[in-house]
Amino acid sequence: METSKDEGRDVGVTPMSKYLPPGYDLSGLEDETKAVSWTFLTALRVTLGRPPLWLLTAAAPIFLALLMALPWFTWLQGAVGNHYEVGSQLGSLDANFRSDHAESLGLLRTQSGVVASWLALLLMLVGVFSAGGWLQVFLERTEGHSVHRFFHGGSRYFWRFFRLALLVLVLLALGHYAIYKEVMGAGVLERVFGVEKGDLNTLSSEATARHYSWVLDAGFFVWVGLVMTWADYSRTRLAFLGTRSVLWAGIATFFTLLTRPITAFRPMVGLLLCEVTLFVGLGLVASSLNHSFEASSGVGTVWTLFGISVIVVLSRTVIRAARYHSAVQVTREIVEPLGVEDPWESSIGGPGGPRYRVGDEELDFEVSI
Amino acid sequence: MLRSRLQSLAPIGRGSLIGLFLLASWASAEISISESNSETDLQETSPSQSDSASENELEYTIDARLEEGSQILHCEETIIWTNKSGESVSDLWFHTYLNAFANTESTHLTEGEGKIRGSQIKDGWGWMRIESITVGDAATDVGDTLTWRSQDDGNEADRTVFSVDLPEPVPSGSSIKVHVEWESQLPRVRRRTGYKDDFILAAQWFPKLGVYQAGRGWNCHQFHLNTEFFSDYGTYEVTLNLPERYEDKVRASGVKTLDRRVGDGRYMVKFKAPSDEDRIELDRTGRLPRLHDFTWAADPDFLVKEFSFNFSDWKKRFPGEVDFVQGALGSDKDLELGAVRVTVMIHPEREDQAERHAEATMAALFFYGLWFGEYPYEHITVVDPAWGAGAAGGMEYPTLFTCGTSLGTEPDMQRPESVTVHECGHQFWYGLVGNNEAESAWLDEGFNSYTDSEVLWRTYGAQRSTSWYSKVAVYGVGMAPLQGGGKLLQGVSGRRYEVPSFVPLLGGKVFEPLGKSGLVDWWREQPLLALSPEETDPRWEDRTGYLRDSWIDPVDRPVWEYANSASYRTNSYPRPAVILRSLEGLVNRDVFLRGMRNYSETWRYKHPTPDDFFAAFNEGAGVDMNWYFEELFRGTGTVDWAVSVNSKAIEESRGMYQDENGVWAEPEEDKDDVVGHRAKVMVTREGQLSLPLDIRVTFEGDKVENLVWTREEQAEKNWIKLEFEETAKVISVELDPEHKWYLDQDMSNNQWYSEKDKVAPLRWGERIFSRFVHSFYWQMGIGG
Repeated sequence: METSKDEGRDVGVTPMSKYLPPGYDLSGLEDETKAVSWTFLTALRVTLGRPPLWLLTAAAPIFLALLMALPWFTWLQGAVGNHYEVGSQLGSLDANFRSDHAESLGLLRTQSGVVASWLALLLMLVGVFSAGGWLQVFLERTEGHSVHRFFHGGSRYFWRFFRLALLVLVLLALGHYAIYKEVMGAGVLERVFGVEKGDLNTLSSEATARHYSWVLDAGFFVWVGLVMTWADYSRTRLAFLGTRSVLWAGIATFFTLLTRPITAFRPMVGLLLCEVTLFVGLGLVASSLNHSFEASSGVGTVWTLFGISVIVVLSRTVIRAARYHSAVQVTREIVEPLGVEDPWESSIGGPGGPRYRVGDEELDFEVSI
Repeated sequence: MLRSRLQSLAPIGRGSLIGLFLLASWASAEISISESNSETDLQETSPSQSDSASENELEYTIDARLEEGSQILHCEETIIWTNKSGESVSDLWFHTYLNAFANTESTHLTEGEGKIRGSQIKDGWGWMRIESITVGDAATDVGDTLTWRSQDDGNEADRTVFSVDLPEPVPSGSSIKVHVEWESQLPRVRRRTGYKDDFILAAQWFPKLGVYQAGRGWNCHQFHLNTEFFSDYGTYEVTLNLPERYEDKVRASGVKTLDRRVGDGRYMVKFKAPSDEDRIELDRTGRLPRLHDFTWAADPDFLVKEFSFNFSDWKKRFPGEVDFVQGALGSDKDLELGAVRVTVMIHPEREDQAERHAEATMAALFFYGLWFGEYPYEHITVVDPAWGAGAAGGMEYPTLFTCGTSLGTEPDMQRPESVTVHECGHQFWYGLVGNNEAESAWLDEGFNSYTDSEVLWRTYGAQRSTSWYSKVAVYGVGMAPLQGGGKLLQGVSGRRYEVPSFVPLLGGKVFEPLGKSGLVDWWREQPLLALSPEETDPRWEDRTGYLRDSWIDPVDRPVWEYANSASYRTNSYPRPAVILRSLEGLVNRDVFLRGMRNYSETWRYKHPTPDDFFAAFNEGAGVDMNWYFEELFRGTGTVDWAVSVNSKAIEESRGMYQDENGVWAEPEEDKDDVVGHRAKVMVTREGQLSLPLDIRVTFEGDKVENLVWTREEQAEKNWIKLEFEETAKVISVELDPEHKWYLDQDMSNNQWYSEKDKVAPLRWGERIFSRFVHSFYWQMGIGG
């Protein structure tokens, strides 16, 4: 069992520590709680320092999206082939191209939709796995063998986090149902704002209808954000405390978030702003390139667009992982570790040497033997 | 009928061939007329019969009163009908279109299975109740002879056509006065008529006489699901008595001649259509302008914006087009267009779009007027329906039309421009040239689709597609769906779950954890990063529509006889547009314009049939295109040309050769020398249509060879082989290089280029990658 007196606190009570494989280096780790107000920046720095992990995590959607693009690319090679003047289909696939190939395009779209649905499920599971991986790495506060530990964590927490993912879906479904159907739709809109049957077409103003729909959409967006944050903290709590009850962890997290909202949400909001800045900034660049594509644009522009998408996904993966790092830091700050009974509490012995329980004759005897 | 035909034949004499052809077509028309004379049952008549002679005259005087808080109009009308059919008429047939919305048993709703535009109709019914009907100066009551007619389908529950017997027949050339009192309950906005809150679009709101045609009797069809309207030209004087809040917020066909408050919170407004000035001033074709319907729209919330169309402004903007048309129609043709006052009735929140509506309206007035003759009225009204009254949008009525839009659009989306141009265009095709919209909808819808695309292209260019997130538009489209359809696929991707019905409390409920939601969709799809630009030339968009259902029905048939609504749409809108555009390519634009202009001017304020169009076009264009019209408008033939090319370099011959001394030796020239190129070109034709096809072969060094594969050659064989042996390499072979044949079923095989486009597959492959990668990333986040 390792202790870390240098760091001013006893990490020995952290249940994670008992899973530490031998040989991990704990030196050089700083006290992350010192910079809690800039937690998200610390989180970004720490996450960025683990390129194998975010590369590995981002590889999943990138690889699968490439897989999706492959049949399209192959088909396009055949469809364009010698049939179109070079550059004529670069700015936009023109109306004739779309009409002439409507059947093949329709088939491709249908098949893409089918495959994408199953891949969406697969990716949710990959997400479940990667969450465990990141938490294992961040909670251990060790260095080295990170990929190994990542996989260890992914598999270790998989079923717990899988159950949590189901809970997330349930909460999102309830939110969607409440916002768009029963509560807001037929309830609030009709009773409070007088919108007949919640049908925005019955309003007298399109602008008002638009604003209501913005409110509904913003409401669901916030709900999704809250659920995702709650889920991140719930996963962290499960891993931090080593418990197994997803429901209990969820309820406890809910109350924790309720009592310490600023501490809990501040780093998440910081990371959200980073994410928005990133993809809006790069998105504008990509959009500008994309919409000004001409016959002369060439393959360089294509690779630039590809690169931007990859960079965005990589960056968002880092930010996603940084959320877990932030959650770990905040959880350490605000969640009391479970009190684990220490069987060696009443024992004696020199540092580094054997310990002997006080008053336990039999054990003393055995040790003396 | 005969008189009219002879009128149309009068200018003939330009060439014996044309004359012979027209004589033949006239003779065939005569045969059909004489056959139809024996038929008295309207059900048996065919729309191809020439029924264009009707130029009966009508004068409507209508008074209507709308009570506060009600949508029932209490009305009376006096109609003076002058019979000019050449026959005595013993009854009168009326349309009562509003009754189509009275119940689910009407022909209109039966054909729509109780739905209109996808919405199940459960309330907001509309109807018309005839209270009294008298005829003649003696006001003889003929109400007891009122008979509901359902001559199209025998549906006795349908109440959209009725007739009354006259005490004595009206001889040809005589007039009869009819007085009708009735109530009209406006429906909740349905198919381009009705109310929504205070917004009113009163269309087809009065009992309207059908069209009496010699040899056919009353042409007065029931109101079918997809049919529109048909009535005689005439004049209207309409007085509306409305609640005071509608003061100055009402516009109608024609112009306002009087409006004032009349006490008791009432407001009275009077309209004349056409205006007094228009009624007495001959238009540039030498006729008095008339119109064939009257519609009004009102909403206390309307902003009334006034604009002015001046030909000179637009001439400066498009001088090349004016010159071209002048050249095509002859330097003596007066192309000047009169000024038109454009009123836009729009809601305050869309005020910034008023100018765009006006601009689109003026573009239509300019181009349609330039090509097909002047809009002869002094005024036109554009109505933008209230929010939630979209069903009232996109409909043409004489000198007033409705359009439709939404907030947050830009001109390059062509919203609302495309609808505004189309509906304004109907002032020409339907308004001025008044074909029967029930029997030959394509004569106005198809012609208008052709023309509106031309106008849109010239005025606005390509249309840019958008995707909408939380009612905010983003340019571009998603090339591929992010999930599949069906319960299973929606379930596995977390989109949608339907609770089985046996589950207590929740049974049948639908839950959508990752369901549609504007802002979340935006976050998930990352439109800035992942959408694909899509631009569409509106002219080619017509072809897209045509290809959807290009074979199932011929174009020329009554609306209710098309196989289904999809066939109606294809055959009434894009297909005739494509056929006309191909015709333009075939005969050249100047010839085409002459033909269309002649048709438009000959049949102004009249009711042309398809045959009348064919004849007038041939006459104006000076060509005989009957073979084309028959094959394209009355056949279902299609065509698909394709080209394949086998191109190889011809190398210097190799081997051992004997010299003069009989010694075998290898020539000293460079063995790898390419001495020329051989290209074997195979052109094939699939389908029943054979149309002359241009073939362009381009060689390196800009040498071009143009060939024509004639109709006759195509009739002999479905293929042709060409072989070129040149020093220069063939770099491209193009069929129909000028893209005249919008009819071609597959244009992707019309070209061959020696150089492959290697960037395009990468370009769009990348878009697919980006489309999925961001969505996949988001989906992963749901897991953790």
